[in-house]
Amino acid sequence: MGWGTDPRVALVAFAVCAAAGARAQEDDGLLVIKAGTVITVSGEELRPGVVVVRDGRIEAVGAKIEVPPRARRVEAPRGVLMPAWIVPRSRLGLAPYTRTGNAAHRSAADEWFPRPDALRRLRAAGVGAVALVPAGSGVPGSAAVFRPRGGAREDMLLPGAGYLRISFAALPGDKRTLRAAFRAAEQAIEREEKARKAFEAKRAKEKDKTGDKGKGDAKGRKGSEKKEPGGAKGKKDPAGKGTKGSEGKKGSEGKAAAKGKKAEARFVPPPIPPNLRPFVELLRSSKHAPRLVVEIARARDLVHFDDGFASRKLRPCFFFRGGEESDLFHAVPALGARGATVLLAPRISYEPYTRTRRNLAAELDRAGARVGFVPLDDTAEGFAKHLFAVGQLVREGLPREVALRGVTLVPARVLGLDEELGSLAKGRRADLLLLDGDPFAPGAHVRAVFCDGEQVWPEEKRQ
Amino acid sequence: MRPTPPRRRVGAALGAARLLEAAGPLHAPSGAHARAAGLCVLALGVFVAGAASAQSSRPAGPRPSGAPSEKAAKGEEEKAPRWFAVHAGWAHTVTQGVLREVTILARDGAIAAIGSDLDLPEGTEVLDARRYHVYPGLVAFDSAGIVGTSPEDSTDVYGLNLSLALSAGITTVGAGGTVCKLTYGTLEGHVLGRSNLVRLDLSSSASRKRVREALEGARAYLRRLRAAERAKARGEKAQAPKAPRGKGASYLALLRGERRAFLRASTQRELRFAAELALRYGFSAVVDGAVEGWTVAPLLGRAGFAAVLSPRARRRPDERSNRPSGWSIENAARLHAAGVPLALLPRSRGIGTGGLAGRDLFTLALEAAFAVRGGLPEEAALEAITLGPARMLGVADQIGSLEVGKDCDLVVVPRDLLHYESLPEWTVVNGRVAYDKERDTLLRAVRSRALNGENLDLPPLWPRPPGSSTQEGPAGE
Amino acid sequence: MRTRIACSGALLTVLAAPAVAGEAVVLRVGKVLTMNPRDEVIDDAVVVVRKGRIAAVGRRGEVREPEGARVHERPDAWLLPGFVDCHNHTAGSLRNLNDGVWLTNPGLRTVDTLVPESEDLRDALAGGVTSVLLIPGSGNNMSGFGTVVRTAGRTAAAMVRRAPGSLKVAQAGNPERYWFGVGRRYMNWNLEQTLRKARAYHERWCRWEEAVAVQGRDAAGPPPEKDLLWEDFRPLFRREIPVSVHTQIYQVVLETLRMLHDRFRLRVVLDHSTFDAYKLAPLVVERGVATIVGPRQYYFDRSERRIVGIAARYRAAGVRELGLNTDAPVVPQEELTLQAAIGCRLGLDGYTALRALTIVPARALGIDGQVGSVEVGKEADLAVWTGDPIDPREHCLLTFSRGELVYDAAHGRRF
Repeated sequence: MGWGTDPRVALVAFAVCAAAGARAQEDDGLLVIKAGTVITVSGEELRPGVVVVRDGRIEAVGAKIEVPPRARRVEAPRGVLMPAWIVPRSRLGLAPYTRTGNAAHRSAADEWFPRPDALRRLRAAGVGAVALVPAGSGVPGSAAVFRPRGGAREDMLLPGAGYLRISFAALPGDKRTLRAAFRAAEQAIEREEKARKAFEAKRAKEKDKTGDKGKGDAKGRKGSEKKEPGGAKGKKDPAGKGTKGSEGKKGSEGKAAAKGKKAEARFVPPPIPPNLRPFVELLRSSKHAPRLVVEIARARDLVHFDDGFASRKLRPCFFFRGGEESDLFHAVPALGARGATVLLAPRISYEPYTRTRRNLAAELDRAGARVGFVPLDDTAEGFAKHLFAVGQLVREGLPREVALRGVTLVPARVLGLDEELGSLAKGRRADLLLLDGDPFAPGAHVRAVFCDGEQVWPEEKRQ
Repeated sequence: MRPTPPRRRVGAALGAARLLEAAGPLHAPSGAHARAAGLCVLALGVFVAGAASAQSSRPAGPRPSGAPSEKAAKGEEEKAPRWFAVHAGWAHTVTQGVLREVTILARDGAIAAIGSDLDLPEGTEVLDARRYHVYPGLVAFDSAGIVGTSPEDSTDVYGLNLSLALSAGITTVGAGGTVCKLTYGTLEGHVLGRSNLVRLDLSSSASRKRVREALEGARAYLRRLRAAERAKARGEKAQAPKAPRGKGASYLALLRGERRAFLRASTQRELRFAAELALRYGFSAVVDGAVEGWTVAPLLGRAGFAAVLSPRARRRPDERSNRPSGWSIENAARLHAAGVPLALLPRSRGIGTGGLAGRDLFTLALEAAFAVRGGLPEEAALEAITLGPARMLGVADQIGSLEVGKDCDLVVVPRDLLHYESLPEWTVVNGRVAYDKERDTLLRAVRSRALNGENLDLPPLWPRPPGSSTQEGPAGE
Repeated sequence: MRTRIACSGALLTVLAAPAVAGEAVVLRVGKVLTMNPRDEVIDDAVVVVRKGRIAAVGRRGEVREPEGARVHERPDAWLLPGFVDCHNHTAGSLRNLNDGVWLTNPGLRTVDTLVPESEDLRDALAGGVTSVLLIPGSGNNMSGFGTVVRTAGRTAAAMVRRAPGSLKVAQAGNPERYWFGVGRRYMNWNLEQTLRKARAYHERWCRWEEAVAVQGRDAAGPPPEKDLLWEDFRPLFRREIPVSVHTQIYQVVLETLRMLHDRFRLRVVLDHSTFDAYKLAPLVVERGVATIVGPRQYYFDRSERRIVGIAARYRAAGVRELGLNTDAPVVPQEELTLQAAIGCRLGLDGYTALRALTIVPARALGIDGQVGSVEVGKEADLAVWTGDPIDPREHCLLTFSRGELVYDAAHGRRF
């Protein structure tokens, strides 16, 4: 499956093709990559295979596709094409700032200052997306996802992707923080329900009145409404803080406008502190509820998490923060049984106080869990070794398909990007990685990386 | 001046004598029970679903808290009960002597029945310990580093220290103000309760003054209260005094006998002060230390004290004193004789892997053996590491002895617990095997069960004079 | 008195007669564990003591009991030889544990720091311990010469069984704290250097003594200069006294065996031999070296998450000369039997454990001709127990030193 006896030849050939394409009158938005092997991840592996990209998205994937004549072409008859891989957890380029307690409203995006050289290295390693997590214990905030394509910081960030990071390793503090957050969110919901009931009761009463007296009491209603939220919440200034409140406003505005004078009679829920909002959404199982990644370092952490929060039916993803010695093998059956997604570093760990080796990734897979990988070494240099490290687990018994999904589709799903990244299928973003051999084989090299169909590494010299 | 020990029968043969001695109480209290049970051949494996009360010493009843009630059955799906049974060769109940050849059946972690021909419900997990001695799980009044600083939120239920403690037969520990079960791998039933003891600091003259003043305040309140009540009874107008809050309320609870005090006192002087304080204000206390307790044992007994002590806690006698002083190996025995309930602990309340054995909780049972050395009866020594500390921790209604209704916390050993070779084979917490010597790596190489108790393949070196039978196995009848 | 002993320098064996030499003592007990080479255990036995020595041992009725003897009738009790603790720091003042003058301090002797009226020694008697090797601490590489003492002695002269008793060497661990810290390579080099100097001194004297023997005093010329620094090493190189080596770990046991046993041909006693050192048991067996385990009785093996009973491991590997120590005050001297109990709890067998408290350490110290077993002719250092001494529930009733009752639990129970 290798690139050939001399990869340079092939590379030259590939470069020539690209150059030839550039010279001809080509359809700028169209790219065709033919590779000896196409690893689609979501579907079957194609040997050989063709991927057609239009306007940065994959238009077609197949063994034999009619190639549009004016397309730019890349031919790598011995190359291996796969989706660019995804780093589901990193601190690369973040300010060394840690938080404690509940800071769920914060995002790592606010503290990210990308360095161009590091981005270049990420591209060279074939990284398609990186989730940056805020540091600290408790609930330090949300992960921000960026694609290392270069350009402005805002262009690289993917709004809406990511997850809420929950640290659950510094016990008892983390457990208490989370418990307090949920309790406070419950109270916020109760407050809101109470306020709503009071409001509705009042309105019903007033309706009766209006039936009798007509318009006369509009003023009085106004007055009572002003009191309403303040009386129910007994908290700080309600204005502006709760985004939910403003959303609600928008939603009801149409109706209210239609009803003319009754516009003021809409319910204004008491504000919810922003760091509780994600928990409120979780409790309401709303579609705005954040994805969760719970970081655990020891088996006991899972036991404590389940003890405190199993009843909340959160179904979070877990991140194994374990070191070389880890007792997380105790947690494998429970995680497998619930089909959890587990992120972990690709390493063989040891049972504590022993030299008994454990391939936790393989064990999790066998038990029924989904496995995603986080680079062992959280540096741009470390990322370059990631596929090899995951390959070590494959050589130690982890099925290759599981490993492939673990570097692409599983992390994509954790970030909420599985419709965008992580596999080669129609409609996905054309974030591609072309290698000169099997991604997990020792000695395989990244030959080209594409982002939205643009070759981002090696940097093209196009006129 | 050292006290002379109360005479204790001494065995003339190694092991076997010990065994007989341990099994001795069989003939007296449990004989009746054995007859009642008819020494039935254990017809085990046969079961009748649900019926589990055949020969129980007390009627088997559903556990007040754990058992699913009818209401629950109506409302939501009823969880099938979890059954667990141990066939015990010797069941050392602590409260009812030693029962021979009985089965202990537990439902959802609580003992449902003890008897000799119980019908086991279908799906009962059975532990066959017919060649073994079964005791209630050991209770350490105090511990360090076994459970978390805030147990319900931080105990490492897979921790090494927790496993070490289980391997020593310990199933419940006091830790700070919390009483915890050593529930391996689960938090279900981990926290058993909170200590209700009121800590009194008598370490300095200033703190002693504070305590005395607080007690005085509480007493004054009670007097005022009584006066007000009397006045009311006479029909006079009287206002009830304002009840103290916070610390004052604790002291009030002490005087009312609702709570017990906990204090540290080791020397005769400290003990005397504490006992006299308790007698004057009429509260009872658990005293920690009590190294010179034997010198004032009757006083402590009179004061209603209970003592937490380490039989080998050393203290040199004071040569300037003309009264007995210093430590004594008979401390525990003397206190017991004076009616002072005991909880025994080693000098170190931690547990570790440093290699210096015999001084921490890893050898809690040997600590009780040292108390026996000083003259404490074996039954009392056993109680002092089971029911005694359970009482002081306020959880004696749930643990500390093998009784129907109590939690199924057991330690299974190959011979009498206090023997130095008696390493726990199984430790059961809440009707779950929390430690199995053969499966846990810690001690499985020592007298392996698989090798039928063989000692690391050692050839027998113990010389056997003709006619003697000192080498007979512990389970030999 | 002390100074005189210290200055005498030569191997000193005190054979002062016991106070009640004339009185015969008869002990009638339930069981005698003789710890003799035939491992005899005699039930319903009688031991006769005359002039501080054992005159007869046997079954009741088979032994002639002398008229007018003081009889101790304990039909339920066990009688054993007094225990020997090979590694003990309590017979002297703890303040004198380490004289850290140099990294090696060849001339120092614990005989200078004996405290005969020590409470610790009385406690030792209550634990049935009648002989201890008082050695200096392991704070430096070579801390001087220890003393074999009787715990019952009430004067320095009565206490000392042999001085020098053994050379104390500590090859790693504690001495690494010395000054700014020295490593094992330097310690080994330094130790070897010191021993070579000592051997050169010994050989100089041997040559002169041989010349005197062959050619006569006049022809032999003047004797070499006496040097107190090296004088005590002469019995060491004559293999009359052992070297007690503080060996905690594998590497140190290995170096001890190679250097002290193989190269210097000394009588080596391995003290502690804890942690992973048991893995060297085959080399220990090969050389017939005594190993005295303690105060640590187990090793937590971090490669297999298991507790290894060290004594049991040595025994399983075939080490016959296996002893136990307390390293008092690390473990109190009267708790020597607890060391056996822990050893047994973790896999050792009871009889081996009892040998490890009696004949084995006696042989290791070279005092097995006088104590260590209940045999006719040996000193009557005996202890009578309520039962199996290893069992913490049993206690010592009577302790005899040279036939003299030195501890009676009925009058001032101590342990």
